[in-house]
Amino acid sequence: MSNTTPHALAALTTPDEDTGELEALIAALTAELDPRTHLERRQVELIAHAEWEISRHRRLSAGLLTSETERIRSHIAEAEASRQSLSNFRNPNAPPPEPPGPERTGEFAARAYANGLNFHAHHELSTERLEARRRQLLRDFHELQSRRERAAAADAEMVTE
Amino acid sequence: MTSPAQIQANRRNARRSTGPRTPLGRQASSQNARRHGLTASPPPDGILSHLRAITGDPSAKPEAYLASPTGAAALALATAEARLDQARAHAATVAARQPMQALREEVEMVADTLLDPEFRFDLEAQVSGQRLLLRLENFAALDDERSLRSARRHLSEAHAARRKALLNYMRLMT
Repeated sequence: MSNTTPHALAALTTPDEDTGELEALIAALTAELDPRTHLERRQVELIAHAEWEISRHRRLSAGLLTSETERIRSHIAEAEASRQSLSNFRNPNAPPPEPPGPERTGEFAARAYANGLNFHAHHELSTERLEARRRQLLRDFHELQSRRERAAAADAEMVTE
Repeated sequence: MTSPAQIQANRRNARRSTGPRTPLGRQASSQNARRHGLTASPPPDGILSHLRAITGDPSAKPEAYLASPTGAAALALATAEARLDQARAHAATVAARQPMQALREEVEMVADTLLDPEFRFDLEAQVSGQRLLLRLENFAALDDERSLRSARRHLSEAHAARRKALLNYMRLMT
């Protein structure tokens, strides 16, 4: 069971994101990590949020790369068509230009990456930072769990004595 | 150097200064410098709900927890949690913001103009257009970067403060 209300979850998502998916992620992590106390559940929720943000950065970076690649492809197709129309004055029987094929996608993607270098660098740095935070949250979660288990074992010993 | 007459005139003018006078006006102008409120104290409701969840006491009151070190640690953790909630919500708002929409449209307009057949082979227009594009794009990136960096810094600080409070609470509870 998550600590966070649907309203609070909605405040953590952007309009293009589905709050239900974030809830499902929290539920999956809760099932896997089995938190028992409020602080453990809160820790799981923060881990899920870190994962959510990592996927947001990856999605934004990939989206930017795709749209910029397509923009470059269409610009190059346009430029080649315009060059062809000029050469048609000299040779009217020349075949019509072919649009850039899929073999040039790598070249366009590289140019798209270079064009948005600042944005990609920002997303990559943020992803690294969030991964470090997620590792730390997970370590703290295990620490909370082991302290709870040790306390429970000590209580059980006292009862048997 | 300021003459005595100028000093007197300054003092007379200062007496006529028109700042906010009513309590409502003073309250409104006290928030003039406020940007996002993330460095202010978190809302008491948020602290209270976290305190009650941490201690497992549905009728817990913050004042009662200040007396013992464990209670104070629980209260510090609840405050840090409430501050983290604020910082997370603010970071999501910044992430959802349409970055400088008007500027983006202008960049697209300039880019389209440069592709126009009228200017395509005009070297001077191309060079000045490319320079303008670069300046606009840098400006847009700088503004986005500034808000993102501020949100990220507040979020990191809130996470660090929460972790410190959590470790302190764990240490005192065992």
